[in-house]
Amino acid sequence: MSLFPPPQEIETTVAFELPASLRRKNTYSEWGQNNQFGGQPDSFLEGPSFDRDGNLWVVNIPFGQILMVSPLGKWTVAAEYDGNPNGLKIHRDGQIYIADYKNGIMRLDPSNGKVSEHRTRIRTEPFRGCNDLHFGTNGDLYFTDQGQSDLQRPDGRVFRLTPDDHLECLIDCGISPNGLVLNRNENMLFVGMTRACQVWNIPLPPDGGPYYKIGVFQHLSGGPGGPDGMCLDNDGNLYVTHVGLGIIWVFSPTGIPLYRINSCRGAKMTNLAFGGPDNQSVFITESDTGTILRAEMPHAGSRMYSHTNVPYPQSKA
Amino acid sequence: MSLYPPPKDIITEVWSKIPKKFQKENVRTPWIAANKFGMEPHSFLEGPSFDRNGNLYVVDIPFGRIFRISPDKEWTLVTEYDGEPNGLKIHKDGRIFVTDYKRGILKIDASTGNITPYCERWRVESFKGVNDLVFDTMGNIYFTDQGLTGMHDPTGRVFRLSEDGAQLDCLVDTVPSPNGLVPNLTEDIIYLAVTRANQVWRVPLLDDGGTAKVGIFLHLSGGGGGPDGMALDAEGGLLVSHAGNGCVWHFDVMGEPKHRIRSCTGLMTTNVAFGGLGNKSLFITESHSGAILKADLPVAGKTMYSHMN
Repeated sequence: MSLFPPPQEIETTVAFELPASLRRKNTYSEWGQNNQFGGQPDSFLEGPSFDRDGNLWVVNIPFGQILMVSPLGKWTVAAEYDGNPNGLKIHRDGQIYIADYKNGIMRLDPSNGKVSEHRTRIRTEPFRGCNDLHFGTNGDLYFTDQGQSDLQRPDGRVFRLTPDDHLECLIDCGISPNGLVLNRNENMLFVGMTRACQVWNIPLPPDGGPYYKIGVFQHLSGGPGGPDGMCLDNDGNLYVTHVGLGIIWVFSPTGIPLYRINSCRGAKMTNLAFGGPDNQSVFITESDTGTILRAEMPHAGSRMYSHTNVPYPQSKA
Repeated sequence: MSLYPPPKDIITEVWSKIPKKFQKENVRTPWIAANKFGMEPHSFLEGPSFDRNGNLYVVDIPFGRIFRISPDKEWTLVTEYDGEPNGLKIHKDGRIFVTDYKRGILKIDASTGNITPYCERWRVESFKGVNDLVFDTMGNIYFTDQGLTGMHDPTGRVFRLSEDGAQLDCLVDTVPSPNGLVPNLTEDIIYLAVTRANQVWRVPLLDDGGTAKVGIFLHLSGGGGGPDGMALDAEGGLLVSHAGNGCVWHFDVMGEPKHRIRSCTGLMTTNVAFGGLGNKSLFITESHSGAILKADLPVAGKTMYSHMN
C-alpha cells in the first residue's frame, strides 16, 4: 500500500439494516441503469448525517428518498421526490441540505418534508451531477459537481457557496470529485477523486481565489471505484471510504496511514459519519446491502456544522 | 504507493541550526503570503551544497539570503538581496549558481556577495518561478520552472541550459509542480520531483537533445507538500526529500524503498546533500525549524559536479 507500515485493522458490525418494506426489488431506475451499468439495486444508501436528536439521516439515490433512522433503529421516509439525492449534510439551523445528482443543491425542511431548490445552476447552466457537500464552520458550503468526469474527461468541479449566496468554482479539472472535507484549520480542502484513485488537497488562501498548488495528498490503489465519502476526526485524521474495496483508510494529518476499517458486509462502503454516545463511533453506509455499519474508534469525530452553536458571521454584503 | 515492505528507519540529528541573530521576526514577504499563508517563518532554508573546503551553502528563500556554514558550524551571511533564492549548486570551477524563484538563474560571488544575472528569461519571456537546478558531468544545467503550477495547471517546465549558457532548451512543459531534479548515473534519465502530483517522474534524455516517454517512476502519498529536493547515491539509488512528511525516502536504482530517513525535528524536509566522512552522511534542510539535519547512510553519495577533477 504505502511506504509506511500497514495500518491497524478495525472491524465493523451491523448497526441498522434497511427494512424489506423499503426495498424495491427488480425496479428500474435511470440512476441504476447508468451508474450501475443496467443494475437494479433495491436501494443505494449514502450521505449519512446525524441530527442533534441522534437520528441518522441517509439518502437513497435511485429512488429520490431521504430516510431517517431513529436511535432505536426505526426507519422513516422523510421525503420522496423526483431526484437523485447523493450527499446530505445538516445546517445548524436544522435544514437539511442535499447534493442531488439530478437537480443540484436541494434543501429539505424536516418539519414538513418539503424539498426545495437551494442552488441548482451556475448562472443558467445546470450542474453536471452534484455528489457530496460539506459545511465550513462559517456556513460556507463546499460541494462537488462530479457528473461523469473521469480520466478521459477530467472536468469535474468543486464549488463553494457562501451564506450570502456567492458561488465560486474552486477547480474545474477534477477526475470525478466526490467526498470532501476541510482540514482542522479550514485552510485546506480534501477532495476524493474517485476515478484517479487519489485524494487531492486544495489550499484555501485567506484572500480566496484564484486557487493554486492543488496537489495529490494520497495515491490509493485497487477497488473498482476509488475514494468516496470522507470525514475528519477531532485530531485532524482523515477518513476515506474506498468504495468497491470494502475498506475505509484513516490517515494522520500528514498522511501517514493509521487505521484500516474493514467492512463486515459488502464492498461498497460509500460514506460515513461520526455518532454514538461519545461521538467515537463511525456509522458507514454499505450501499450494496442497504446496511449501516458501525466501528468504534480511538478518536472522537470532528464536530459537524449541524452541531455548532456559534452565531452566524455577519454577511459581507 | 509501494507494494514493497516498509523501508528501514534511519535516524537524524540536528547538525546545526540557523543562529538566533539570523532569524527574522515579523517580516512578511510576498513569497510568504503566497506559499506560507497564516505562518510567520523566521527563515526557509533550502538548496544545501558543499564546496570543496567542506563549507555548506544554503539559501533562505523568503528573505533573499545565502549563508555559508563552515565545517565547525560557523554561519556567515554571504549575501542578502532582492530575490527568492530557492536552489543552489556549485560549478566545478567554483562559481555558485542559484535558481531564484523571482529572478531566474543567478551567479553569486562568494567573496563579495555580488549577484550577477545569468539566465533571467526564456527569450524575452519571464519564468514562472524557478525552483532547483543540477549540473550534469558536462556542465549543462538542468533546472525546474515551477511557479504555482499544480494539478489544476500542469504547465511546469524543465529546462536545460548549455555549459556556455548560450543554448536554452525546454524539455517538458506539462508538469504539475516540477521541483528537485537529478540525473541517473549514466545521465540518460533525469529524475524529477513533481510535488503536487506527489510523484517522481523519469525524463529520458535522447541523443538528439530531446525527450520522449516521460513517465512516472514513483508514487508517494501524504505530507502537506510532496517530493522536493533529491540526490543520487553512488550506486544509482535515489534520495527523495518529502516536504511536509518529515522524512527523506531512499530508493534503490530500481525504485524499491530501502530507507526512511526520519526528521528528529520538523516536517519540512526540503532538500539534501551528501557530505561528511567518505561522503556517507546526508545533510537535510528542515525548513520549518531552520535546522540542518545529519544522518549516516550505508551508502555514499555520488560525487557532485563541484567536486569533479
